[in-house]
Amino acid sequence: MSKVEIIGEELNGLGMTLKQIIEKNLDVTDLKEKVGRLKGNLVVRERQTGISSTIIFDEGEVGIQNGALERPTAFIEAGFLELADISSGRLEPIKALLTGRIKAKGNLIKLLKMSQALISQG
Amino acid sequence: MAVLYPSNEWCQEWKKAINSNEAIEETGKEWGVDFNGNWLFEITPGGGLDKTTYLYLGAKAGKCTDSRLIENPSEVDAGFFCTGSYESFKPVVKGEKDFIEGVVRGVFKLKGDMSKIMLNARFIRAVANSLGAFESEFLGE
Repeated sequence: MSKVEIIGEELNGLGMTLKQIIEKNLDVTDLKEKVGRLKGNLVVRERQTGISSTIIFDEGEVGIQNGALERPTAFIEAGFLELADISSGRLEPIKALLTGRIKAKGNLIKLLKMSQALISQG
Repeated sequence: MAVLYPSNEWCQEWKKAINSNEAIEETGKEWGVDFNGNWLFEITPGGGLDKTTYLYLGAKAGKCTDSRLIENPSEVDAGFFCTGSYESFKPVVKGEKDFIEGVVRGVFKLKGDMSKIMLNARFIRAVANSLGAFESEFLGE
């Protein structure tokens, strides 16, 4: 299985969840190619708890750490159920943005590319 | 009448609550159908509980198939393992705190296929919410 490096302290529950999903998805060759070209970081914040994780994409290497970087490439905030719907492929990130189910900031093109790593590939 | 958490009597009340809940039946149709959807909860001491206690919950297709305390985790085959302190589980059982929020915060450590959890998040929440369907009493209170 592909490895997502844990940066810093033990991950919170959100981070552990995201790490496992990304690792599973990275085992899909096509996605690995897409993510392999990415460079940037994505902050994911769970709305109800305020818990954040930062996912770092560095041209093939993927890392994850607790908390939010001050100036991430992109940022999304959503409730757990919305994150779950996106991750399971039931809700497209672009639709979630347009309908206000998630909030986003930063480079939206890169956000949509990076969010592919969070969507279950079957 | 309130039942003591944790006890086998309590486990049976939870099973009844799950199996009479329409939201669980609806949201859990696919849970455990082509994967092991059984849960093992490890409740660690504190808050009145003096020894680590294991609670097994069998779940498949929106129904609870089994619910009981077990002595040894190796007695059962569970696809999902959740550990947390008795002190942390109490407010969830009382309906004061959300189980998923506890997982996100890391209060409860969860092992298992997280993509199944994400795909069935509404089912997980509905099962946790079913704890409010009956009255519980607690050690140390």
